[in-house]
Amino acid sequence: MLLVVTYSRSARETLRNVCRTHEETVVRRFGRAALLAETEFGAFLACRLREKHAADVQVERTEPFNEFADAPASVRAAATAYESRDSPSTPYDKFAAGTDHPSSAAMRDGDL
Amino acid sequence: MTARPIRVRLPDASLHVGPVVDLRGVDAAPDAATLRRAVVGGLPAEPAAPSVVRPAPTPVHPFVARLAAGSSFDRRGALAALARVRGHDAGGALTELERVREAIAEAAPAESADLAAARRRAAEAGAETDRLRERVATIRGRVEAVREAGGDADAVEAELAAAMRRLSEVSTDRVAARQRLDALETEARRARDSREARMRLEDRAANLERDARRTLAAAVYDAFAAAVAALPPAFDADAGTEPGEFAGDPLSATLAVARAAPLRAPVVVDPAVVDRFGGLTRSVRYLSGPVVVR
Repeated sequence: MLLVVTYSRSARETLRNVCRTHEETVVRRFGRAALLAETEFGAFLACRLREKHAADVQVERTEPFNEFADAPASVRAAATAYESRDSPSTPYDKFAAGTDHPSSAAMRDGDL
Repeated sequence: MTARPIRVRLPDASLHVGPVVDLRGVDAAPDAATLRRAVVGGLPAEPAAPSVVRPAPTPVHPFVARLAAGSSFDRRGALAALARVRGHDAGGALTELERVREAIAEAAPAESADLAAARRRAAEAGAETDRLRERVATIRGRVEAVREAGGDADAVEAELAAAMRRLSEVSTDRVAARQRLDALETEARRARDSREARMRLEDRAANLERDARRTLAAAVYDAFAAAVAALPPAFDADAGTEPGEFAGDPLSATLAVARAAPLRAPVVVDPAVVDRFGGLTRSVRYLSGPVVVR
């Protein structure tokens, strides 16, 4: 899908109008951002916004996140283990200390 | 208050003078919108337009210059303009607004014109690489075919080598274009923080403007409410005690603002409105300013 985020009042207003007029192409709206369908018309709307508001509009192409393909097994395992921790108030790094799970710092430095 | 006389010269050169200019039944009279423009804008924009010689209109005038049923009316905007004309100010809100506007001007982030060029370059380099990759595969197929047929593959092999050289060059370009685009996108992502901050300032400015309008509107609301109360019963409007409480049609609100405003330039009143007042004399007395009926 095409994620459009606006960074000025006028760009936000244009996006709002676009969303109102082209509901069929708008997959989801979030205030100053919207997800557009990945059709030529979605691209047309994104191009128009970019044409009109230049860098006040950010357009990203999104795809579903498949954790089994996109994230290392160690990361998945860490998430699973942490979400079934006994004490809900334990911060992640304290939880991971002394285990095989990666530290949050290590994960921050690791590009996907 | 006795209104100062105004002079209306119509396109047929006829001159109408008076605090009240009644153009009902005057064939040469232009339509109300044209007269309104002449009243608000002053000198005629084109030779065929009427001219209206009148004292300079106040900032309220654009809101009330045409008095007719069915027009929309920015009540808060008009009340704020009225308040300013009557000497009220929005106090601290305006100083703060000025400060925020300055901050917005300073926060204007640099435009990254390069980013679009870099996107185009990366896309072109990608397409060119794909095209050459296909070409290399095709020629390689031909080399195989010539060899299998026991022919002389030298010429085709030379072609293949040339295509592969070209592919390697273009691939290098592609990587460079990709890196440049990545770098610019990272930069743009960082610049978005300042855009974000600017947008918050814009929102703040809009809120302050609204607050200022509200304060100003509240300052003259008693005068407005009195003018609404002075309307003949035919208008059936009630102002309540604060700007949100007005109940009535836009025309009633427009008339009340016109009455509360110091009318120097004339207002262009629809004959139906005159009738609703029960005549020209009553209309003029209510508005207490120069009037053109059209």
